[in-house]
Amino acid sequence: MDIRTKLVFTLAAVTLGSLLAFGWFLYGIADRMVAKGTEDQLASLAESEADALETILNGWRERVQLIGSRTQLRISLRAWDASGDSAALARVATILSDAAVSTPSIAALGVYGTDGRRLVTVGRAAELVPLRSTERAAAPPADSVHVLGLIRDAGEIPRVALMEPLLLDDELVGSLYVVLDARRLVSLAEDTTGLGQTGELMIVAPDPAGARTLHAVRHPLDGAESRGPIVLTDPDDPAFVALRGEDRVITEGLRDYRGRSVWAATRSVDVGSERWGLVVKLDAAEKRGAILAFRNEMVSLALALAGIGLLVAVLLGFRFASPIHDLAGVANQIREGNLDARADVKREDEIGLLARTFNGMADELQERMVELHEFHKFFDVSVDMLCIAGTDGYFKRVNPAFTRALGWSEEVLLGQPFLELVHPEDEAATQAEIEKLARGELTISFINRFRCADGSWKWLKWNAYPETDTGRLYAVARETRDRPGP
Amino acid sequence: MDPAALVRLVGGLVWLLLGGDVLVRGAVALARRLHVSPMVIALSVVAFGTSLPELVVVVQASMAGFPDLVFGNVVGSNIANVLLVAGAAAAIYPLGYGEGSVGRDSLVMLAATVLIIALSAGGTLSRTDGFVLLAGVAAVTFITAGEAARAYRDAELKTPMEWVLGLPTNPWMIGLFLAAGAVGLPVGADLVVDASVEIASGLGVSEAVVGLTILAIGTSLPELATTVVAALQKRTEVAIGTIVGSNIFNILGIMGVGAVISPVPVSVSREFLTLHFPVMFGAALLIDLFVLRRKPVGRAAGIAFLAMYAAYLAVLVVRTVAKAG
Repeated sequence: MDIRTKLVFTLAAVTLGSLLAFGWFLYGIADRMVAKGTEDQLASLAESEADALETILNGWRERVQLIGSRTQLRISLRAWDASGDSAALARVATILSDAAVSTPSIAALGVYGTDGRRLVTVGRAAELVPLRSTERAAAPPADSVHVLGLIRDAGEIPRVALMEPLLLDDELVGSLYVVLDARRLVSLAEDTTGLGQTGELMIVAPDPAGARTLHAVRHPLDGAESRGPIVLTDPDDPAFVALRGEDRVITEGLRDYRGRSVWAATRSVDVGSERWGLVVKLDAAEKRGAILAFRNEMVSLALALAGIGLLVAVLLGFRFASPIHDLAGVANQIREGNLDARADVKREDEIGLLARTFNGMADELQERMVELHEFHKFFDVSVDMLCIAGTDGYFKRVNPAFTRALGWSEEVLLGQPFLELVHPEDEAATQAEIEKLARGELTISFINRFRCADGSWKWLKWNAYPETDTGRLYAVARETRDRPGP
Repeated sequence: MDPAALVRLVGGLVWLLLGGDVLVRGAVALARRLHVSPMVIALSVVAFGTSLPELVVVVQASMAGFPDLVFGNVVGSNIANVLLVAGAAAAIYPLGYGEGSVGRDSLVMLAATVLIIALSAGGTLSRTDGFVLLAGVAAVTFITAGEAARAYRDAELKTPMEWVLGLPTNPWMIGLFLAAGAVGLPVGADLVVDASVEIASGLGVSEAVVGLTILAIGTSLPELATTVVAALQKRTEVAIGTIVGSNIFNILGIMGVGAVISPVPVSVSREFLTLHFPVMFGAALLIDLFVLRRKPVGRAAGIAFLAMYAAYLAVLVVRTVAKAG
């Protein structure tokens, strides 16, 4: 695989890997940040909603207390209780009517005697129910208003029923019932600002079946035609955490009435006769959705950036590969005979080093080739017969003078042992001379006869130099008039 | 305009082009290993493979419901092939009018151009229309199989050492190339389509314009590069033939796939009927004039082509600005 592709794959893997790893960690950090932010948001929302609820409750209590604080009311009640004075009762009725007129949010008012019997009522009397005997026995201390519950008929304004025991000189003289317009509580619960697309505030009261919402819930249940209050029965519902009086922020393992995973903050509010729970909750998916979008965006950008990195890799690859190809091209040119070819040496890096070294080698090579050419020429043009032979008895190289002198072609001369061409009478001496050479001794002026192509014999005088480690003999022969000595 | 969109566009184009290149190399290496004949390789793998980027983008845009991007890419590619690629190459070194079947192929290209204009004239391109186009490409491929293979075989002989070096031999490497290509192409197409839509809305231009310009030029970069390099080496014999073949495949094959895959009939916006189709037809006609009269596309013609392309782009820009203003 070429360098360019190797670079591309490696860079792709490295860039993508590191970007994705970075993204993974970033995702984790962002996730925790969003979770923390959401927890804080839920907690502070829960606080402020709980305060708002308290304020509403206090408002109701004050209104009841305002009515009940009329001393004349209590005195009249005691008078009735003691002596059955109907004038006293009439006074009570007047006080109640005045109160009903001056306070617009009152739907009904009632006074009950110490025996629980209804004495005076103003407004919608049917909604006033007497305290049950158990509740009467457990009547809290004076000046304590408790909430009996929310009354809600379909299509009508919700109302809240409150009760205050009336005491005079620490003695119970009767109970005051007030039914007030509870619109403010419902508005509080149904205001979803700050709660995103899925969040809601839930105010719940205990119910024999579990927990009951005091208002319509934001998300109608499947099959329900309209939104309305519901009863919660799932023990995992954050409402029960709230009803237990626990102030918590929970982000794991909670499900709401739709079965969806939710994050919630819980508070509780004491309303006198019972405890109400307050839950601020948000679908886990809504916040998760933002994180997931963030993650997808990051993956997309990581891929794009890796792509740009790949482009750089490809360009780099070309930059690295092409000078190497050029170098290979120059080497080919030299091999084919163009000794002047040299590589471009403009670079400062390792490839430049290679190119410079290569050029140096080419220069050397060229010098050697020139030398070689000169010696070759010398060999070829020499009038003297020059040859290289072996101690194995064969000519290895002969120069053209051999052919001019003896008439044999180079092929013939190289193709047979040279002893075949030596005169039979000189064979033994020649053989001995070869052995001498093989031992490393020079041959000086050795004379023998060689057969020519035309059948005649030529007298030749030999000088030879042996190269013992290769068995090569470097010899010069001349035609001679001399004859070998005795 | 969000710089992230630009990053995604460039990065996506790189994935597209590299993915296509790597996939083709892997497929060629696989075919060689399986001893498939080089002619078949050249015809099927290489010819089809170089159109992969456009094909994948069209598939992605089609499924995501951006018909203007689909049309813009195909039509823009055809216009760019003639005016930009041929123009740039001819400006460097004249393009031979093409040997053999190029004359007939150029008429086929003209016919295909007319066909798609006719099919789209009603304002939509339905799935049936897509099948018609695909039938056309099948017929064309069948008829021209032999000649195309010969042309590509000759072209293959001239491939530089780098291409040959880049073919994997080890089966793991072949697998890696194929996998990398198969992953890179859709990744690139996804990024490019998202980025194009974002850029279009960010600049306030229609997706058609983005498809016609940025996308079309981007996916034509490989053709531009190879043809210009060939022109620099004075080897332009196959340029016209490649352009004609590519255009035919764009219209019949890629547009056909886009129309068939799209979940709803592909709508054709008016500006295609009034401007872009006529320009594409005009470009096809231009090439035909040169080929049928056996005249090489010389330097002057090349420069004229480039000027025409610049004018076309200018018209697009002016129209867009006028609409925005």
